[in-house]
Amino acid sequence: MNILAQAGLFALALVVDSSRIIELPLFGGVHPLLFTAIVVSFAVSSGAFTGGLWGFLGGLSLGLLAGNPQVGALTLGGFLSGSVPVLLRPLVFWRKWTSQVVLGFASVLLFNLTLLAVSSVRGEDSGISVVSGLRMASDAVITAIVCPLVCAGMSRLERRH
Amino acid sequence: MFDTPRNLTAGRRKSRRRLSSRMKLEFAGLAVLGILAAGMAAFPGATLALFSPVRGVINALWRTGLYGVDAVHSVGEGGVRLLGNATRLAQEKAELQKKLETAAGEGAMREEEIRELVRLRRLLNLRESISDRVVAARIIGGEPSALFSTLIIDRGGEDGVREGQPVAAPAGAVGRILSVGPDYAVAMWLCDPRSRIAAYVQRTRVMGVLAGNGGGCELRYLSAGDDVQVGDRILTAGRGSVFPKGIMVGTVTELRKDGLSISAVVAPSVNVRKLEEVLVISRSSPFR
Repeated sequence: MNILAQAGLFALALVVDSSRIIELPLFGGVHPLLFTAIVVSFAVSSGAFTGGLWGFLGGLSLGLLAGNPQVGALTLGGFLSGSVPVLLRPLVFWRKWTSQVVLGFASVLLFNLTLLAVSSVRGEDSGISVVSGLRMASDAVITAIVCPLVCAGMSRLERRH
Repeated sequence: MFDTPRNLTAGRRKSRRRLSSRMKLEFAGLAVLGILAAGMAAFPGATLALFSPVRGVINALWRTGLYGVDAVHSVGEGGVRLLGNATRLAQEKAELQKKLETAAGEGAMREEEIRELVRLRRLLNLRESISDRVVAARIIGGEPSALFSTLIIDRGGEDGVREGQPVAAPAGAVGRILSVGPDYAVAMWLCDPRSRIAAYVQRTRVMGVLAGNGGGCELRYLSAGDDVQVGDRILTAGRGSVFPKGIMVGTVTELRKDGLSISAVVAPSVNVRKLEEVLVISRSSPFR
C-alpha cells in the first residue's frame, strides 16, 4: 500500500484514539486501541521492522498529542507492540484470523505492560493490581477482536492499490 | 538460459543471501529503534525538552482540528436525530417536511443548549463554593490507554494553570494537572495508577490514602478496626497541598482485607468519559 495511504489511515486511528469526539464502543470501561490494531496489520503484511517503526511513531505521536510526560514510555510501548509479537510469527499460523487475534492481544498487552513497567521502575505507581490487570486484559481482548477486521480491510485496500 | 538444477541452486543461494542481508538490516534497524525508544523512556525530561517545540505546534494544530471536528460533530448530531424521523416525515408533503426538519433541528440544538446551560450552572455553583481562584476549562482530548487516564484541557500556562493544581467538576474531584503548555494542560485522573491523594470517610472521619488502580480508586492504609462500610462517602482531606478539604471523591463499593489492614474500593463520583467542562483550582498557599 502507498506510504501516504498508510500514514493517512494511521493518523486517522490516532485521532480516533486520542479525541473524545468519536466515542468507540466501550467494553468494561475500555475501547479498542485502534492504532495498535493498525500497527499489527502493517506488521502482518510488511514484517517486524515496519511494525516496529509504525509502533514507534504511533507511540511518539500519541504521547505528543495527549501531551503526556510519559511520551518515552509510550514510544517504547508502541515499538515493542509493533515488533516483538510479529517476530514470534513462526509460533502462530501466519495470515489466519486466529493468528491476527493472538497478535492483537499480545501487542496491546505488551503495550500496556511496558507503560506499567516504566512507571513502576520510575516509582510512579503501585504496580499491577487486580483491577489494572483486568483492564489490561479486557483492553487486549477487545483490540484482538478488532484486529482481524482491520487486517482484512488493509489487505483489501492493498489489493486495490 | 535454461533452469538447470545447478542454476536453480545458485539462484536459491543468491536469494537466500539477499534475504539474510535484508533480515540483518531489519534487525539492525529494530535494534536502533529499540535503543532509541528505551533511551526516551529512561530520560523523559530530556525527551520532553527535545520535543517541546514540536509538541507546541502539534497541540495547537490538534486543538484547532478538534474544535473544527467538534463543530461538524454538533451539526452531525442534529442531522442524526432528524434521520430518525425521516421515514415518518417522508409520507407528508415536502413543505411540511421542511418545516418539521427545521423544527427538529432547532429542538435538538435547543436541547443541547439547555444541557450545556445546566452543566455550566452546576460548574458556576461549584466555582462559587470554592473560595480560591478557579479557571474554567473545556476537555478537548485524552489518552486512550486502558491504564493511564489523562485529559487534555484547553487552558494552560497563559491562563494561570500550573502543574500540580487540582481539577474538579460539579460531581466531585477529577484529578490534578500533570503538565502545562502555553494554551493547554494535561490533567491526570484520580484513578490513574500514578495518582495518590489524602482522603477520609465522611461518616467516621477515618483517614487514608486514595490511590488509583486504572479503573477505579482504593482507599488504602486503613487499619482493621476502622469503621468503614459499603456506601460510605469519601472526601478529599486537604492535606498534601493538592485538593481543598471536603470535595467528593466517590463511594465505597467493597472492602478488602489484607492482613492487619483493609482497603476500600471506591467508585469515583465523576465519570470522566462523560465530562465536558472542569474547573482548575489555583491557590498560592498549600491547602489544609
